[in-house]
Amino acid sequence: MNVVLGFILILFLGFTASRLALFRGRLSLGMQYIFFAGTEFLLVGLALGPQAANVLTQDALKQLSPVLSLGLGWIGLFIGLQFDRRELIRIPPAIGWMGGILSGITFTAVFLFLLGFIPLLLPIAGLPIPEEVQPDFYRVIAGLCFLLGWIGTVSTSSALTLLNQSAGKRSDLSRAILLLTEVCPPIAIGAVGLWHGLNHHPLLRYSEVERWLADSLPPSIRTPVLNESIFPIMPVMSGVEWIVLTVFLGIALGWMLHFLTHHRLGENEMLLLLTGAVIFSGGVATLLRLSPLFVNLVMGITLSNLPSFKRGRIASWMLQIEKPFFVVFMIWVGAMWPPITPLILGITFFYILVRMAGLWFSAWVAGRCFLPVGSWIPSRLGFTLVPQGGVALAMAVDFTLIRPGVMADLALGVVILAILIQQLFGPTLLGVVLRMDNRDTSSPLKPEKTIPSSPQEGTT
Amino acid sequence: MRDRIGALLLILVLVWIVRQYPYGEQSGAPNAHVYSLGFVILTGYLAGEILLVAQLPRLTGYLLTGILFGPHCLGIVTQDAVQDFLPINQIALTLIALTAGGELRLSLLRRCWKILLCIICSQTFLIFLLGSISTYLLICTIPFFPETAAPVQWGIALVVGAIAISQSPATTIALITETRAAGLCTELALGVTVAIDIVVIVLFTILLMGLGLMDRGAETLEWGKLGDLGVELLFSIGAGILAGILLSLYLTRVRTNPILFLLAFCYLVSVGASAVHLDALLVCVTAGIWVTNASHAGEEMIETIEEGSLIVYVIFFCVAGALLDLGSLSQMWPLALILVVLRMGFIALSTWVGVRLARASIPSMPTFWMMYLPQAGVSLGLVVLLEREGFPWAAPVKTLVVACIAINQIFGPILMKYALIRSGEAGQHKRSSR
Repeated sequence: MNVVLGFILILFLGFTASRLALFRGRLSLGMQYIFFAGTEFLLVGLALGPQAANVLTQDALKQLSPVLSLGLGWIGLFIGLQFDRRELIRIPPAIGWMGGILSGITFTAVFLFLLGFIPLLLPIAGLPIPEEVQPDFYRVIAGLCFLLGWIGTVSTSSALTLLNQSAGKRSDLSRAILLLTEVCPPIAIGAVGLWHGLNHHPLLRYSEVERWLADSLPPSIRTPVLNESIFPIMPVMSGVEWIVLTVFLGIALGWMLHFLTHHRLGENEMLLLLTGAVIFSGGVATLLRLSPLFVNLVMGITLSNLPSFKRGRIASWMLQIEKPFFVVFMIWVGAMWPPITPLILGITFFYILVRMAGLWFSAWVAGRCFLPVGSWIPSRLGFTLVPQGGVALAMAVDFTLIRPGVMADLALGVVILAILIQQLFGPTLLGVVLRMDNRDTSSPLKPEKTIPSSPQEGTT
Repeated sequence: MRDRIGALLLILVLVWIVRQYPYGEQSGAPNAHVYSLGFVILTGYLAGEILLVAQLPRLTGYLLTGILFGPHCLGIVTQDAVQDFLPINQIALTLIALTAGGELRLSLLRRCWKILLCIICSQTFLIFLLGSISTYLLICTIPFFPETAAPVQWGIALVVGAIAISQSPATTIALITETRAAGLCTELALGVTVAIDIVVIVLFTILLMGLGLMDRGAETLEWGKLGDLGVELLFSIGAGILAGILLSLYLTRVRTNPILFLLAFCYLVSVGASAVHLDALLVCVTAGIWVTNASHAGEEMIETIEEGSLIVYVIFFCVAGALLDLGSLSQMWPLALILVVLRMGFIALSTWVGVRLARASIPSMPTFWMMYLPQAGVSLGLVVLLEREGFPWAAPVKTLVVACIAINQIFGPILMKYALIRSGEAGQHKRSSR
């Protein structure tokens, strides 16, 4: 009965939230953005989940956990589809290089700072590190920092879309920001995917550090969905197999989808094939503990680069039916939200701070290196990339599926909280920088090239 | 075509690779089931498309996929996975019922109410009568139920006779959607199939009471059951009207995410109706009739459902195929085959009598009766009721009925599609169904 009640509540709250969104003109930019990005559904999920009303019980979440792999698959495919080489060549090389530099520096900043900071934070949070876990400690914490570092490089264009909608126009700076938000996520997903592969052990055995943290932290810190598999000893494939299988699966399904969709299809068939392929690849990936996000990213890249592929048709279809997937995904992630502990609060606070600093510095460096001398470079360009959304969340959730446990919970807790906090001030920062840009006569890339429009702008 | 065969082979190769890692199963049943769901959607669709080349209905491909890869044959889709798909199937069934109701236009039915009524009456009466007599004669002649007394043999015969009347609204609406059929024959096929479903439920309840009387004596007779059934049907219609009003209000006033709303609506009806002992299908059919005939949202509702109908049909019929018990078929196939052939004959005869009684003319009379051949879900539900009543002979009857349904499921849609094409109504629908 709980599931039924949960469903009714989800429905009621979802519709109330969507109706509220209609009146967003009266709300502040941050609040408008929360509705625009669908963040309200995270809160709906939290309200219904085991941490609050417990209407969506742990059992219900466990039974319906495949929803997560579907959401991840959808996001991965969507990002992969943007990597059409015919579209990519239209992006100015400077933007590509800027994206690379931006990702590299931001990742390094977040990774190194958190790696140094977390060991200091643990005793403050009442968790002095015992002697016996010391040898392995940095290796395990480095994994968490590595993931958060790459998640930190990912931004969303939703706030920009919202601002452009209300402004009714789009400057060159906003086009550049839009392209940067599209260049960075695949780099991050690819890096984390490779790391998952290389970091794959023949046995999925949890370290002493993870055991200690799991024992020391409140029991509910473990992601409720995967509670029972906190210490499994399960044979998994080798790292090489992991990567080969991921790439093979993505390429094979990309080819299959291409051959099935390259001739004229009805709406019904397109919906079936896209949904079927995402469900199948997501299911296989989760079953074999591969990354649904990465597998579908490879599928999307393969699909978009095959001859006679018409991206517009599939992409517009995916945009049309994105909302149901996204809403359900957000509700489920909200229900999985681990409770906020001092440790999560501390990591989140410094993650946001270092990320902002990293973005600002990297954007400044990238601008200096790759934009023509004499161009007006907004020194605050990095601040426009602060808002994060679905992709960052997807990367954290992906980790909880591949390697469930206390580290995944920490990452998920930090990322959810960081997304919410950044959504409160990120769009305002973006708006300020864009307004300052409008006051200036020259824009960063204007004399050289006109920045092409983004291929598509979705919620993720 | 080569693309589709190639894609099918590729999926099978991927499944083979996945099965090389048996520990994958340890990562949890829900994950294994989501992969099975994806497999069912893709292979079912591809099999349907491949069969289309041979002019066979797509849904035969979906059914064959379910049978071949289901738990009774290759086992790629496990029994647990099929059980997990049942809630999805329930939603699909209510969505199909909503479509069935939405396709029933009272204006057209008003014009042909006489023929509709005549076919319903003649089919109910003749199939029940002839089906019962022939089943009795068969089980007296062929020793499938050897140690049964004459009253029990009559009981079995009456049950099989009643079940022979039942048809499959889901298959009918799926085929109508697939062939984009519209016209008198199509409306009659849909109208009769939906009405007969309700008639069979009432008849079966009366029959169960009679059998209880025979088996356990007059003191156990529960007249209240008939009253309960009447109340259930009336309340289901009432709930359907309320649901219809709600649906039409949403589709005309709110309009946000209609497909999400319809899915949520169907889920709530399927769960809620069983919780309060209402007939979910009747609720949805009534709601569909209300939306189409008493509001301006009928077209939008059907178009919204049709946007996602293909995926719904693929899952629904693949699961139906996977649920078909091939063991029962192998045990009972000779008797089942005879009964299926006899049922065909009785349907042809009763339909002809119905049309004659109404003094109507049907353009494709020689094949018109084939539209009433598909049989599925309700029949199984009736046998389950029989088992619940505790009759000792319920188990072998269930095996027999399941075997008959298996044959009807495979051949019924093929013949019905043929009949729709012969009627000249295929492809006449103004909307695109794909």
